[in-house]
Amino acid sequence: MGVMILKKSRFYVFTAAWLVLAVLFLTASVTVMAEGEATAERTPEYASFEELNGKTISMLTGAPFESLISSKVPDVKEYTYYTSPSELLMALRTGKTDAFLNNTAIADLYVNQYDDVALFPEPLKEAVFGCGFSKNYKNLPEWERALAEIPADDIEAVWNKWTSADESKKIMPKQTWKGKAGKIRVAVGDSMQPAAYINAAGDVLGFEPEILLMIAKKLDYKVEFIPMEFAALIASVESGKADVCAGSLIITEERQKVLNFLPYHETAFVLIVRAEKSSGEGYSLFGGITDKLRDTLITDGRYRLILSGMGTTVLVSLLSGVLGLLAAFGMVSLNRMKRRWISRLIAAYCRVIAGLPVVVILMLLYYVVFASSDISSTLVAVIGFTMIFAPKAYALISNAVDAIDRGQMEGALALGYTEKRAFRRIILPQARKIYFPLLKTQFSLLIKETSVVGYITVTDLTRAGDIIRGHTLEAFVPLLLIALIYFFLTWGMATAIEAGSRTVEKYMEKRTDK
Amino acid sequence: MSILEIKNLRKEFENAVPLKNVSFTVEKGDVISLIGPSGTGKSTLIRCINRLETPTSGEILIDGVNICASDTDLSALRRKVGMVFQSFNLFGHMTILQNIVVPQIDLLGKSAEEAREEAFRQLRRVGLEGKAKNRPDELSGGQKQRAAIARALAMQPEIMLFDEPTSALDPTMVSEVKNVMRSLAGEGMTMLIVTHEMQLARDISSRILFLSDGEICEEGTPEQIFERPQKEQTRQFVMKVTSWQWNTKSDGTDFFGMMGSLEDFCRSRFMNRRLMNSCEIVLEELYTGCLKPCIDENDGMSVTFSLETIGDNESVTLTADYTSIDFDPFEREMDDVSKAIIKSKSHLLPADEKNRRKWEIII
Repeated sequence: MGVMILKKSRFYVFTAAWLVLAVLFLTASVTVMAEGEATAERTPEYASFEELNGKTISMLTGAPFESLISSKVPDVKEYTYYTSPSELLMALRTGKTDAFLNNTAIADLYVNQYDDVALFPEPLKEAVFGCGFSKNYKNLPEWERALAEIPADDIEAVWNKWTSADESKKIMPKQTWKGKAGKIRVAVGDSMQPAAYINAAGDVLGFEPEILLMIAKKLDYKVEFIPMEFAALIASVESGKADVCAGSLIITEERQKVLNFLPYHETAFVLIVRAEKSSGEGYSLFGGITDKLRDTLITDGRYRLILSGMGTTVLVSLLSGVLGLLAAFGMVSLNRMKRRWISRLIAAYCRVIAGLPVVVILMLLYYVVFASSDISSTLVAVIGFTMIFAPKAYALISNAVDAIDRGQMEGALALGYTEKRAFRRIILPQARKIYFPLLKTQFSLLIKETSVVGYITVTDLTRAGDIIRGHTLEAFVPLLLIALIYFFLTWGMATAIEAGSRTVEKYMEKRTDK
Repeated sequence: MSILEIKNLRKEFENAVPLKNVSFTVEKGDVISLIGPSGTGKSTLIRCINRLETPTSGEILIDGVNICASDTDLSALRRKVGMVFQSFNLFGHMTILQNIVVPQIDLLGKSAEEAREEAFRQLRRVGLEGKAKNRPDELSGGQKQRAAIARALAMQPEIMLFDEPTSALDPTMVSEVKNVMRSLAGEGMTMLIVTHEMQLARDISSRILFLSDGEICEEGTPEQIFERPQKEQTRQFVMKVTSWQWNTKSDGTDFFGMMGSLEDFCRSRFMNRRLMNSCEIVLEELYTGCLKPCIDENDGMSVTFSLETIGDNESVTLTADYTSIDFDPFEREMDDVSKAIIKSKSHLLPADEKNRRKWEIII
């Protein structure tokens, strides 16, 4: 009876989840709606610093502007922090905050794209955007000269193109020149819209890469773009994986210590607030679900990004799961050699891995161990997760082996089995019953753990969701979708492993039974 | 050539020396029982023979090949030696049939068909063909041990080692295993048995080795060891495992303790219920009718009761030894009922020594 209920409830969860997915996709693909034209004329809800007293002001986590704002608005209700511009926008439009601080590139883009937000008229602080060159890069002066030769209007036109609402014009120039001067590797932010970002096909977009291309064309350089998370930009130049990094970096004294900057455009820190209500309905979390779905999946073929991200997640977790398991068996058989130093080495390794956060291990591998090698970041992720999964699997297997009665080994030895063969034939199959269910759980955890590979520039499912959120400036649908996909991935893979192992088991049983 | 030859075997552990110096040979068809007090290295000895324990020094020759040499093919030698463990050690993830078939395929290179045939032949031999498809945990202890014997036999061993095969069994299951071993001995199998089952040792052994303190203290035929032991240690051991003794003391004689101890002994000998009841009744009447009043009157007197079984539990002699006192407590007048009861269950035998009385108790 209990089993029946369990089975039934599993069935309901399954059906319900698929229904939700199906409805989401259907509505997204069927409904086609015209895009609303943004009107340029609108008034901000707050137009002076006095009006901001008693209001909530937000900024990116870690942005050091509290005291600057406090000097102008002495009575801020509270400061709140968000991790990305799109989340700041979302908070503003849903009324969770009343103003947020960001640079003029973001401000221009948002104001052009959304008619319910407006620019606060008084800027807070001037600043300059720059491309960060490696301290080791010798040819910076010729880049500086080339940039100076480009007319300011051309730069402005590029800026306006990428901050406009018109997506159809946002096309990058092709690198048709020969590249006689050589190649330059540029680390670009993959979700720093409008300065630097990638589309679903993985093409690099944004005004900063385009300006770099304009200079490269003059100097006849070929440019190789390496898209990655913003946090990885500076580290990748420092570790020598790229010569330049680009992604709306503001020139600061601290950054100048590690990078030589090529300043290309002025900006300012400004506040973005809501527009007066007159310009139509405000944003709602659940409203316009079909638009949101279409933006998340269909526009620009973004489902491809999700699919490839999903592929990466499956690839990384499957490969490192299998390799980690093999490594674990290797460790088990090494340990069986009964050499004290080997056992100690294994124990020490397990302890080290257990004591380090996953992200730290990955970053150490990518930015330190493999810093100078040309190995792909996905491969580094596989190596990292193999190293992380192996000790876990090893602990499960060796505990299970220890739990098997000593008599089983003695019985096999007495019949004439060698120790090795007895272990494979008699001990392991019995241990398997103990460790296998636990191993499956660990594998599900592994799939979810891989969601941090964005730190080392791998675009997995989670990162794909981040990038799409950066484009659509909308969190609800992508997050829900990613959550659903993870759920089905872990479930599906666990079920597949179960089915696979059962088949193998049956086959083995038949073979020995005959 | 002897099947098994052991020369000056010594085994040391970190904190004990279970085997000091053991030498003996086993010829084809021998059934040898190793008996002796607990902790005298019987199991260690038998485990050394197929190198589950590595001897400290000495030689073990199987078919003339020294298994202690470093270049011997241990697995090949072990195939010649069947081993039955106290804890069965059937493989838990296989059926009984697989337990017998898989080692034959893996180690003897037999085809699945041949191995199956052999397995059923051995299962019939131990009466378990009906359990072929069951898993070990679905069988009783006795059945598991019989299956383990069948598994060992299927490997066509030249000698079978039994390491206390009945010690982990419920008393009701001992006899099925003993019977299988009996029939094996009858078929001429060479066997080396470590056991506490004296009756089994006596019945099926061609030779008995009495081990004490890591050495063979005495060896001989079952008659020699059980009837006419030469060494004092052997005599004491045989007495202890074949007879029951209780000494009464005037201060705080423990009547219930005595009766309980007697009952334990009878059970351990697998005495039938009626005989056991008779023993209990006779002892009780002798104690309450004669002894108790004497003890109450005479401080410090003591009587030793002992019980010995004759044959296969057909009859029992109860001896009362009162050599430490100068009168016969059993002269005392008893009430008629007690007298009648004792008479109905036993008869007095002529005493072989002074100050001793013997009763034979029969059903």
